Amino acid sequence: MPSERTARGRPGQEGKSDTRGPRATQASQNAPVSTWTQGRRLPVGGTPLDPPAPNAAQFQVSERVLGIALTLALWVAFGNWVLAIIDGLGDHPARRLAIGLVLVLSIALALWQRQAVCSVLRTRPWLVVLVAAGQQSAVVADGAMSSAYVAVSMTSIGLAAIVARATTVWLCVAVLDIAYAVAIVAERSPAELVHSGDLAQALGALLGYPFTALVVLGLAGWYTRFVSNADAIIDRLRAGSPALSSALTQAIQISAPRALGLLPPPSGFTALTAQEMRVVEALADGRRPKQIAFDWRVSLPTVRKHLQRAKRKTGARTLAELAAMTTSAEWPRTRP
Amino acid sequence: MAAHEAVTNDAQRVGDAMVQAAAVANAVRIRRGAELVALAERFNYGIFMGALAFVGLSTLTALAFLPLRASAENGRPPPTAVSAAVVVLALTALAAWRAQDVYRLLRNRPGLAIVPVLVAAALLSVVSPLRNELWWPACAILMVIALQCSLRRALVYSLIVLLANLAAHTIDGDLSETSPVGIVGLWIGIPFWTAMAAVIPDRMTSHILRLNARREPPRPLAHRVAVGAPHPPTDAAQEDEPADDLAAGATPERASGPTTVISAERESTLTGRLTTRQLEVVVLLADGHRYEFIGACLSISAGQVYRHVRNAVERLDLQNVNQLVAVAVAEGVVPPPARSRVEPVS
Repeated sequence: MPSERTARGRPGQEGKSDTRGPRATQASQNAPVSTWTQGRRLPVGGTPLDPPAPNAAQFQVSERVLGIALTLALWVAFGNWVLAIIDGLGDHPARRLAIGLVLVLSIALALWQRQAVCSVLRTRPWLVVLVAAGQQSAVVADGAMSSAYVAVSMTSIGLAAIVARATTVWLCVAVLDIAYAVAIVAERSPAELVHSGDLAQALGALLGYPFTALVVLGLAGWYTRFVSNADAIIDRLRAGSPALSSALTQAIQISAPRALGLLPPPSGFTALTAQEMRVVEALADGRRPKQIAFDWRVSLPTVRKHLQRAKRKTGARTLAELAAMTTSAEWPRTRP
Repeated sequence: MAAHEAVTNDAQRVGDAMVQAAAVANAVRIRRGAELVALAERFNYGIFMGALAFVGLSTLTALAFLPLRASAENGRPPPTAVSAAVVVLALTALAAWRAQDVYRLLRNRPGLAIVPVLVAAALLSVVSPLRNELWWPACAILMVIALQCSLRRALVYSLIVLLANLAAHTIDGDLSETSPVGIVGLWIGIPFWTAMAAVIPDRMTSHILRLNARREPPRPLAHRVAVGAPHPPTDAAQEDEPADDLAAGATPERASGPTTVISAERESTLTGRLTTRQLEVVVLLADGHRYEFIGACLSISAGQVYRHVRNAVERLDLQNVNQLVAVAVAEGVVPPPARSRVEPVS
């Protein structure tokens, strides 16, 4: 417990400090946030930061993201099933209906048991290749050319991009493409394909798989690269590199010296009187000056005066900024 | 020679500034609101460029596939479709050339988005809805627009395109000939992909905003007096509080009694419920900027800023702006104002 806290004489903290101590140390040992910024080198002379060392946690699937992906896949499967029904079910209505049902139900099962799926995929991410193969076998069984479920097997690429590395994703694409191409060639001769005009459709599906992989991997790659370079980007912005809108550049230039600690700090919170602090805290509670005045049986101009003085002392420009300051670590508490 | 020296001097100065900025930034891990917004904007801009590339690629593919389909019908590819694809390709190349201007224009004047939407509608209407090679280019244009606007607006745009398509084919009279699958597929597919483009990048951007705001340990609003039933802080909530590990030394004890400490469960829903735009507005508000200036930063009007604030307050079920900013800072959604980092005089 730092001595300055006790020096300020806040009531009720002595009794709690011993209960807090062990828990705090335990929590700091497995600190869940901001671990990736620790121990990284500074950019020197404009070179961007080195990419962070690949750690295992980066590739771990979160259950929530898996749930979202599976929900999307379920929607796609269900939508395509409905489309197949509208289509009049083709030559083998029962088979077609059953394949759609199996797809929808298996995705729903995975969604329901996503905890188990998540733990399995965490240890063996390559299993998504089997998922891709399973979905593509449904497409082949449905008659590859006329299948309504090509879009469903595309969802396995999204799943692969979430749970596995890029190589596994491309492996999935290869499995999907080869299975589809073999099924098409077995179904029809090339000449027939060209004559019936289905070549465009087949090529579209064959190109669609790598294209989906490209989009998904591009999005994920852009995100991870951006997140790991955020420090460097902000440093560059502070050093004067322009933002997209000029007003934003101006705002950064205004705030950069203060953010970098190059400006002298304003007089601070300790100069606030108790009444001023209470008014600001009431403001941060979402109460209006008029309400505060009514509750405390003082006049509205008095409350306004308190707020004005607090703004001047802390250097806040707006009431919202003043309200935000009540949450800072240096803000003295007025209530027990 | 002199010019060369000037350039090296400039480079030297920029390099020195960078080193200094980096050194200080490491000491002061605080992020200001404007920097976060600029960061989010960069990310968005990258996605925008990617979406433009998507439009170009899908149009190219369509152009390549048009003769394939036509050869089956023993004819030439329909000239309207080919010329439409070429026009879209040219427009996309133009937009990619002046990408920053187009991006700013779409942000400055959201109403202008109707122009690309009409282009998409024309693309879908010139060819038959079933087996339409221009399906993906039209959808991709809608997705580019959806990146810049809200989900509701994006869905309205896709509805405009679909209705235009339906109207064109009703006038043509070929609606009865086309299979319902093509139409239903269109009516499911286009809103689906538009919604994806409106939601997923937005979620990613707001995650980046929150991720970087969280560098500073958030501190709960312990002085908040419960308005309704008091929720005493539970042990579980305190365990999950990210403030605990980092701010344990710096944060004074959490007050007991009738105070609301926002629990971990509430926090997760609370922070996840704001859109990127709302987060950006709150971030700039916590910086101490006025509505007019925030509007200038985000390329929107002050009235639109007010609307974002009002929506955010309503979403989080709070009283007003001041409480919104205080709660957002307390939960680490938004970095605290840098001014507050004053050494306490004991």
